[in-house]
Amino acid sequence: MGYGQLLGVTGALSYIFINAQAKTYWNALTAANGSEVQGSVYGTTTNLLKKAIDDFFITGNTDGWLVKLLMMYPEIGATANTHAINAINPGTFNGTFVGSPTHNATGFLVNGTTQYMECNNMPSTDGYSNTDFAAGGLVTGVTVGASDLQLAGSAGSATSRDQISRILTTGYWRTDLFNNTTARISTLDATNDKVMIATKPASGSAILYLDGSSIGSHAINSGTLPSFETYLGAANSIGTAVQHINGTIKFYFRGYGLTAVRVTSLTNAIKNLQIALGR
Amino acid sequence: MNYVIISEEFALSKKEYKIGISKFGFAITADGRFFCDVNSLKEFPEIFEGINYEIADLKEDDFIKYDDKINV
Repeated sequence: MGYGQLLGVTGALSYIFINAQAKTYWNALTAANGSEVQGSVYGTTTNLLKKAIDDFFITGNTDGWLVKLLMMYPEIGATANTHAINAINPGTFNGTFVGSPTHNATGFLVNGTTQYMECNNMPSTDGYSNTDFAAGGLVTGVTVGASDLQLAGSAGSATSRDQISRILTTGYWRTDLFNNTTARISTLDATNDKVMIATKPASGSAILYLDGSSIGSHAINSGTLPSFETYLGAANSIGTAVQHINGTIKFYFRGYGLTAVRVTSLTNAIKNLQIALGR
Repeated sequence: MNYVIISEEFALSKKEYKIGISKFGFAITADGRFFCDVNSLKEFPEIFEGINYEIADLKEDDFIKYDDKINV
């Protein structure tokens, strides 16, 4: 047990972060809105809240996935200012909220028609590779409607798609990577509050994981990553937000180099963070 | 669910309106009406000053339907 953890448990003194990246994220959260980023918002103490964030980053360092993430929105806090923060590198790729989503301690609620978040990054250029990338998220309260719903992504042409996560009217999760004619990879019923991660490894097929378990894979057609920024809560179709999802978005990330082992670790870390946040 | 029905001219003129990290957003119904969320009235009250709008209860059938591919 580290010194910081001991202090966190006693609650007598302020928790001391072990992971520097976690501390940077915490400082960004408190700078954005200190009054909401406290343990009482989540039914815990602020020291334990800090420890939960620290543990998340420590696990990511230990298991090798943290360095693979280019952007991550843990949606901690209860306002747009805190939910916009990219925890990997606060200030870079911070989000912009469109259409006035509702923010609370669970995440941000989008209405399925007008609301989403611009991630302010460009898949084709911002650190992504056509041959190795990954993305994933956690959403709850989704009502499958008469249209397809996009958790996140963008599309520039028939062979330039990056709609990583998607729910069909039938309730299937799917990914659209480059060319969506081969992209439906699971018939598993979409269940809310499950960690969904899609990977396109450097070699081999794309894989979709639900709560850490592979639920399908498909071969990748040739193509490019879109030159349209990623939207979260909708897909960016040549500059227009379409197929808005409804529900509360709790977590989203993009990165690369996620092996099955790393996916399992990241999934568990995301779930443990939600438990610590009481949501 | 209640939404704010706005004119096409107003919607398009405010397409890039932004305060800090919040941006005005709107969508179009299947029959061509422009609308935004009621939260926008609270978040961007300044742009609605002197503007005619109405509150309407829009249903699932009012929204544009997409097939399972995005048309790009």
